[in-house]
Amino acid sequence: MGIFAGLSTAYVMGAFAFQAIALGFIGLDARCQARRMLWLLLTLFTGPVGLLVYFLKGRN
Amino acid sequence: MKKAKSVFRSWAVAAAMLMVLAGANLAGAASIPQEVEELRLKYERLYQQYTQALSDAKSSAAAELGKEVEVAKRRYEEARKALTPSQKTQEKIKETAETVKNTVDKLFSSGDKNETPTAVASKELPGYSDFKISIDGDNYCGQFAMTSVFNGMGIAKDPQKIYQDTNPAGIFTGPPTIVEYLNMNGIDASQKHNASLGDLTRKIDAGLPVVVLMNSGGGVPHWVNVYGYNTDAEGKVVSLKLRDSYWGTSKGYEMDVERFKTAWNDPVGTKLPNSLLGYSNLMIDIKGTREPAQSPSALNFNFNTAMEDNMSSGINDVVTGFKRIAPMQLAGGITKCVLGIPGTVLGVTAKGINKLGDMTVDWGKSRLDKGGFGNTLLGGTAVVGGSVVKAVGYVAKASGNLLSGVATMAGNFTKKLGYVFAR
Repeated sequence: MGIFAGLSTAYVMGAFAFQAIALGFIGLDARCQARRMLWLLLTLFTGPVGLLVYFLKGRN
Repeated sequence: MKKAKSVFRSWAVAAAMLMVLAGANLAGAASIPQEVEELRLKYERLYQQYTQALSDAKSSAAAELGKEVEVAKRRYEEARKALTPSQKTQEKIKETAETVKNTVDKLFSSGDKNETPTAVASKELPGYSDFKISIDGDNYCGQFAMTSVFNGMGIAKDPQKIYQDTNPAGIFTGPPTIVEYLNMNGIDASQKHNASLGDLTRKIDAGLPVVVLMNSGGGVPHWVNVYGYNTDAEGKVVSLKLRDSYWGTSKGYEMDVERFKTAWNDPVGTKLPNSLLGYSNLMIDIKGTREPAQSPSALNFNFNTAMEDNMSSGINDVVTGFKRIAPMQLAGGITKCVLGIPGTVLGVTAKGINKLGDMTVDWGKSRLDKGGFGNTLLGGTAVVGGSVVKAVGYVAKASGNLLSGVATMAGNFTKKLGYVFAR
């Protein structure tokens, strides 16, 4: 396995951390224009892409 | 197998005779040191296990025990040469030798009802068993298995070149990496998840080798090239013939079918982090030779294991792209890893949900077994509830695989651009 086990663990932990921070941010963001639930779902299913779109289109 | 039995028999009888002669020649001693006695006991114990393993039809266990018995016998004889045993010990040795001889005769006598099932038919692809694969330098299982397949199918390949191309960092090689390299070097291959032993033997019958992912112990995944199998009188597979970098490094290795099935069914074990890779009965399905692909396929993944494929191939591409200074491969790997985040989270969560569902169902079943109105009500509810939880888990896993599949396609497409630009 070499360092693969370590890398895969780090990746999975990083993925969970990213999603938790991204969803937490959108859920609590005071500058969210509208349709917060829609933005949350988009980010849940598209991850960084959804967050990027939210930054560009979803904030005041 | 019969030949192996004959060798075992000859060896065992020879060992028995040696012991008798040794015992007879060593006369007049007053005592024997404890260590020699211990070595003799160890030898006897191992031999007993060996004969038991043979009668239990555990050919691989017997082969291993046979080696241990040989070592124990050698140690015992070395120790004995330097010392002289007592008359009592000589008698014991003689007695043991007689027992060994009788056991061997009984075990191998014709018409014995408890005779070990032997392989009566053997199917083996030529060019795999004795092919010398140089493992000077770096030796990794995926590269070894690929070298065996390439050479067996008439495509000369240096294992070190394959290693440099696919795994210069020496980490686990993901199934998509193996499939991609085979396709790009003249072998038509794809992944098959949850394959059966029949799938495997049908391939060999068709003259094609197979690469499988097995558990080499402790949940460490290990690539193995299967090139043949043995069957008993009823046509049931009793053992498989392998070439790999662990068991069959210098020549082919035969593995008992039960051991093979266990190791194939669960190549990564149940412990984290390896269990994150949910591969089971994974087979690299080789369909023959082909024109080498000019660039990687964007669809190089299996939907059932898309999350695992995305993670393993993403990590492989990042590490290999970095080590080989291949920017588009690195970019492809990063794409897979970044876009694969939601799929990975969903997929891993789904595994947890499935496990919770399994535990609930098992608990419910145990309650139902106890009987009584309360237990039946509680158990039934738990079984239904657990099944619903498992269904949710399956949906989540499928969603995770779908998202990971999209990420894999995007990553592979990015990597593909590197080949397009390079032309």
